[in-house]
Amino acid sequence: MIEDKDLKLIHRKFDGDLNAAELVYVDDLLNSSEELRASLASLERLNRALQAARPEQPPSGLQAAIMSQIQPKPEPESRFRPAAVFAMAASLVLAVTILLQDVSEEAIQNVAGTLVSADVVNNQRNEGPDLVAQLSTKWEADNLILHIEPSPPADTTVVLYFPNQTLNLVSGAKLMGSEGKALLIGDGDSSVAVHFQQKLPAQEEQSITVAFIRDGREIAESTLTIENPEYVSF
Amino acid sequence: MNREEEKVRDARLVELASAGDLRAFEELVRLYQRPVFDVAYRMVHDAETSADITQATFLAAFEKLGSYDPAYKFFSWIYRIAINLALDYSSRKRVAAAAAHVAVIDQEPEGPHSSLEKERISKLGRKLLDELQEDYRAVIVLRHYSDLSYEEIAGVLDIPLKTVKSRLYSARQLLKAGLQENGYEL
Repeated sequence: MIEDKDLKLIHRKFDGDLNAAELVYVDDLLNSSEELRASLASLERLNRALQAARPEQPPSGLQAAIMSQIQPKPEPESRFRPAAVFAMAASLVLAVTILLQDVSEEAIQNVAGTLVSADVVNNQRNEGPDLVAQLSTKWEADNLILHIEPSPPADTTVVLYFPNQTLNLVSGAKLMGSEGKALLIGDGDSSVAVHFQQKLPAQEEQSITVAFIRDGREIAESTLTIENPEYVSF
Repeated sequence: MNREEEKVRDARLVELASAGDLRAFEELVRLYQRPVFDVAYRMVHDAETSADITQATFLAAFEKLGSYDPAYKFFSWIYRIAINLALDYSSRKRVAAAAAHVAVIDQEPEGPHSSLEKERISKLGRKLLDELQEDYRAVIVLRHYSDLSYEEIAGVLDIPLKTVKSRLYSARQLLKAGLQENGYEL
């Protein structure tokens, strides 16, 4: 006679919900009980019976039909007070100025920007930024080294998006997506080296969007620009 | 792309769409019209109604973009809208729809023996699914057809994890009993 708790474990095994220790335990149970093996097999047969129903294709033109009913929303009114906008702009200028001073001392080629709260970016709040980080960049041979200061907390993931580049070699981060345009930095790392598939055109700007993600939510972002991004060795 | 990467991508698309970028919303429609249609179809078993539910789902999503919490996965959020619309439809049309399906099953032509048997079990599975109470049907559809984990189902249906497990267990027992009553040894 199968116990109810064992049967529930079989269901969880079928659904891939068991952790490693539970798997060992359940596999052991299965080895010793023909009834449990039959239960697992019957679940598989039930799944096959359910899967036997062919999926229906959505009608062609469904996407167009949906989009034809979508109307652009009116622009929301800004809740920013002019004084608050000015104060934030001034703080950004100050931050960038400080960074640029650091650049000359540390021989970093180009640095721009300060991350601000995504809420502030979206004009949804008029307090100052509650998260400030700085991204610095420098070239080492033909690799671009990006460094985030201070290091993101362990619970925060950083996504770097290069809109007009394809990356082909990365260290300290994981390539995201199939287009090779985005990197994901996690586990408290703060530095990453990237190599672009094509040499950056001289005299053109390279923009990078940096986003901080915590609990699946973007908490801050900024778009930075590297000017004159020729390869330079230091 | 894994689910975490999809979550990041979707959060970005929703943010852009909320700011008025219709191309970003169209990308969300392109990505999710098929799974939303599929969930609706598994719930109501009618292609035309499923297309209507899919349209209504995306229109509602567009209207509610401002209330979307990026802490949750976009697909969980949009599946929830679709499931609620499908359940609403089912509760209004349940008796008539079930009767119509039975009539269709009886009228369809027979094929070769093996495909006939497959067709028969497919129709029986669909009929038994229709006869399940709606909260049981929803967990079966999300687990067996949409391949969601227990946590994801809990998020879509806004129910505790424990309830997901118990509903899934009970729903499967009912389906197995139904198949066995119809001569299928499971």
